[in-house]
Amino acid sequence: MRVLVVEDEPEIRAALAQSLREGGYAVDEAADGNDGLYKAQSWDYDAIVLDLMIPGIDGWQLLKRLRKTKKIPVLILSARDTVPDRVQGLDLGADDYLVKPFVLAELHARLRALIRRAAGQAKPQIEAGGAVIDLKARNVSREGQVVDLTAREFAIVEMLALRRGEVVSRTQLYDHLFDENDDSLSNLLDVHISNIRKKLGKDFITTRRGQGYLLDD
Amino acid sequence: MIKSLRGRLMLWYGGLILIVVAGLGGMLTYRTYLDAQRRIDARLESAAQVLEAGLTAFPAHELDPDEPQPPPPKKGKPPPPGRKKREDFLELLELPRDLRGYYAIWKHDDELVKAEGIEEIAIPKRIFEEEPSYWEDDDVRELTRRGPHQTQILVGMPTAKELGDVKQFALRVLFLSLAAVTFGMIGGWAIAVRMIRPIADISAAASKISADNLVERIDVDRLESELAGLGNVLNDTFARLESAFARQKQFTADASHELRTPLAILQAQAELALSRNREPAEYRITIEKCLKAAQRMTHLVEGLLTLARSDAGQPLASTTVSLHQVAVECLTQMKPLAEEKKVTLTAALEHVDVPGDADAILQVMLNLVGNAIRFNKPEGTVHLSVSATPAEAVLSVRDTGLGIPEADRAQLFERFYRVDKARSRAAGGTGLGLAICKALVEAQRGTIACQSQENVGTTFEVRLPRFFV
Repeated sequence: MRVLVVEDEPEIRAALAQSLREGGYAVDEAADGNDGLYKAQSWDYDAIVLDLMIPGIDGWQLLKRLRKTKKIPVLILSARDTVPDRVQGLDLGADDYLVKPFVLAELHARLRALIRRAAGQAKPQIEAGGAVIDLKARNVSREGQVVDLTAREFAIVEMLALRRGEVVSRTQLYDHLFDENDDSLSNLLDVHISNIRKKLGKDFITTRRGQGYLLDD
Repeated sequence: MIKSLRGRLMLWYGGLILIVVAGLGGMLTYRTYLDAQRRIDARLESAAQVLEAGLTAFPAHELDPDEPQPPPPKKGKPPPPGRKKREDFLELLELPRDLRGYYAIWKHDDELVKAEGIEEIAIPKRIFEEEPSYWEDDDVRELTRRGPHQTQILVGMPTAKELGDVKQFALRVLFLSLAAVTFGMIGGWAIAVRMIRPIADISAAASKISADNLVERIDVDRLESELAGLGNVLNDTFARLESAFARQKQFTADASHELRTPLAILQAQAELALSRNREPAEYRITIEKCLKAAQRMTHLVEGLLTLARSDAGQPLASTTVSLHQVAVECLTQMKPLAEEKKVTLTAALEHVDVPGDADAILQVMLNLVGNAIRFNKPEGTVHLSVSATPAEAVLSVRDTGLGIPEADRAQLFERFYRVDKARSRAAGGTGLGLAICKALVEAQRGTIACQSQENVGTTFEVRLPRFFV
């Protein structure tokens, strides 16, 4: 999952980014509204964490303009806590509103919920390909046994599971798993897919030549 | 007492009409009464004259006891012809026909000559007065006076009819007055209600205004000019209240935002550090970040407290402050920062004393010089000068920084106003520095102003009075 963090206060941005990366997300960062809008329009993030009081164009402006073209889930993170502020944020198109100071654990949970909802997934557990993918615990179990996957490997499985039954292209996988800071080695993906097959079975992930990968229901 | 304005207006109005109508009516009635009186008297007068004429025909000796009797006729001679008998003369005496009155005539020795229209009458005492005189009781009016040959004439007539007419007139006037007063009061009430309705409208509009709803205004166009004045004054007051509340709300929102940010830093950093096992170096960095956030909050809270105290009007200390001394102290404290930022500090200090608070003035200087150092170009300079005019001490801080754009200068001293948001926050500024300077300077009856040229530099000038008048 790839997330954009738009926050001008450097210490908060750094803590957020590190926390999310440690949680298995690929994280892009923006310190002002213009940069944030540009990135949000350029990439298909799975979620955006948006501060409102940012230089350049402010959070509301960014949200309004983003919503003209994109349906990405947006979680507003702001010190503005009055009811009118929250109503305005949600009505402008945000999917959730969290007030500062916030607890990182809560942010993670809300982000997971947003991403689940965007994928039409109600529960935190997905059953597919003969395994149970637990989105909250971030692990995969087969017949009750947890299979040991690296963070990247789980991220790939998570993505395929959320889009199970659909073909996910390599480009999509890249876009959602690596952030702007990664050097994308094109065969890194193949290495991860191959490792997953070793751990979960050859047929766990199906390859469609020229199109991408898919996880069957 | 009637408290309602309408009621009072109606009563005053009605009272006024009552006075006017009653006054006029009263005068008219009185005039009519006098006229009736005069008519009666005129008729009595003319009746008396008629009687006098009749009496004049009498031979004098018949009436006047002092007149000599004519010699009796000689015996045997017949009386002179044409000589009337007394009865004939008496018959001549009569009142004008239309006077339904009575009369009596006495001789000087009180013997009644003739009386007509009245049963019994004793000679009234007043007849002995020389002047003709009038007398009346409820029904009649009498005129008494001397007639020819020392007779006394009394003529009287009933007054019922004439005075009755006057009474009728008076009643009609009274009735009309009451009608006028009643209509006046009704009309007055109606007018008062219409005039007062705008006041009720103003009250209604004003009562809608509350802390949550300061947008209401009184519709001034529909008011008469006097009330429009009131309406305008109230509208201005509401506008000032609205903007004061808005500023207050804005300040609270800003302060809350500023405090929440370092709290969020503390929370996020600490939670992150504890979320898994980390290297001691990482913990160290996290703790340093937390410390910085705590210091930031401390500065902010101190700044807010200073402003709150200044808002509450708490007086500062008042001693004689040597600006020279304070400036030297400021330069000493700022030297490390200047060296760190590679900025040159220069000064031109005169000896000037002002009444005021030394700590407050030091805080202002530190703030201005600190800003000048931080927002300067590399290898720039900051010049601090203290000088005096006859009435003021002038303190100025000049830097060679990037300058402050024209558009920002108007709001520069507002709380939490930052020209370059990102930069000043990173530099650890609270956004309150200039607002605090302004508050402290003005508390000592001084002024603070800013001049700037983009890319050349900025000068802040503080003027403090040397003498409090």
